[in-house]
Amino acid sequence: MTRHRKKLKPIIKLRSLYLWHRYIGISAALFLLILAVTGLFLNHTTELKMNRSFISSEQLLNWYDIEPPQRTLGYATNQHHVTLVEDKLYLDKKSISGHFESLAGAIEFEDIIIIAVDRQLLLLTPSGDVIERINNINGQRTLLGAIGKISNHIVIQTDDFFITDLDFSIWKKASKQEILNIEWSYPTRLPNSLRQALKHDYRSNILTLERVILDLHSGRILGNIGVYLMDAAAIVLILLALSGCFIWLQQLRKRRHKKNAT
Amino acid sequence: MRLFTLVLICLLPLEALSRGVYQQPTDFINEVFQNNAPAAKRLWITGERKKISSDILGHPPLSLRLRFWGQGSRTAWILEEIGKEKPITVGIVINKNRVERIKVLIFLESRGWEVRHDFFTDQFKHIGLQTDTELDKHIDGISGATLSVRALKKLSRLALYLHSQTDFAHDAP
Repeated sequence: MTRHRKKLKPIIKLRSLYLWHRYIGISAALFLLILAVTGLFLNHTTELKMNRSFISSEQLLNWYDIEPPQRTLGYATNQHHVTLVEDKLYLDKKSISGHFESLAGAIEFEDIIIIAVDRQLLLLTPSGDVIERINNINGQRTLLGAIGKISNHIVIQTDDFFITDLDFSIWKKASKQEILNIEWSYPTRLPNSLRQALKHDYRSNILTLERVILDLHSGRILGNIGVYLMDAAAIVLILLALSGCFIWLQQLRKRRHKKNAT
Repeated sequence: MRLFTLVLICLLPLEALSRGVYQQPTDFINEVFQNNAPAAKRLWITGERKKISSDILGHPPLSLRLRFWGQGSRTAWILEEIGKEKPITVGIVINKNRVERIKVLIFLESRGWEVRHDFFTDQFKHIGLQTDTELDKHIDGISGATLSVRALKKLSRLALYLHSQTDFAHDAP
């Protein structure tokens, strides 16, 4: 009887360990999958251009508390809208490459859109391609204050008022009489649909796919709880490895016992 | 008071003193043509030119049209390229299809301003372009200024290529 008991005890232990190992394995499977898949992606962020792919899902942007832009300044030309949203410049809905600080105005001149921004004049086609960047206002690289039109000429305000044409090579100081007749470009209120589209576009260019995958990997996508959850998953995986090793050792010992007995 | 000013100057980071406008582009052009600059001409960067310019820069050109000044077999270009985050404005003179002079005019980056010194820019003198639009001479880099060095190399290649697309290239022997 005593001998029988001695033989049974390790089998029950092993069986319960098997069960525990199975439960731990099932509960860790989901986390393991997340870790493995996101880890694979993170190893190839550059090749997959994940640092240049942006998330546009409203739910995810809201989840990350990405706020709509605070600063929106728009100017209307004959047929287009030029808008500065924070540091991004748009012609209608098309984003213009670069980062900008101050928008002083925009006019349309012979099918060319001329935008006074920071220290340069941007000459754009109606489809938003940059034809030329004029950085030289009367020989100086200076901050632009305003842009306007007078008859067939363009007027730029810096520390003075300068008149030029589409060649931008000859600059003439405007007389007092000419200054009075300038049609200045003034800020205008954007149509609601355009304002919403630009706000969405601005928000859609902040959160990268790489950030989201990284946060999924670390659990930070759920905040601090997610990090603790991933910590727990890591501990479960450690236990899984240890229990697996222990079961394997027990089996090995059992097989050796059987071999010796025969 | 003098001591205080001296201490204050010493505390200023060297980079902050090295950034800024070294020469206005207009002054550079006037200097190159000895105050007798010809009227600016324009070169459209479209079609094959756009493709080759994009290959040289590693991105599409910032605009479809570039201004340049030409006389005899010389052309002068004011070009811009982003170093790391901010643009570096460079004046380049090409004479007989080789670089005559290269000068950093405006540098707004916080690092890599060493590229403005003559010991670096002098390396570009008499350099030309191979058939694959690479420079025909090796340019030694500067540690800590890799991106600025790269930007200057790209711009010199671009200026040499664009010069070859103008009428002034055909005057060269």
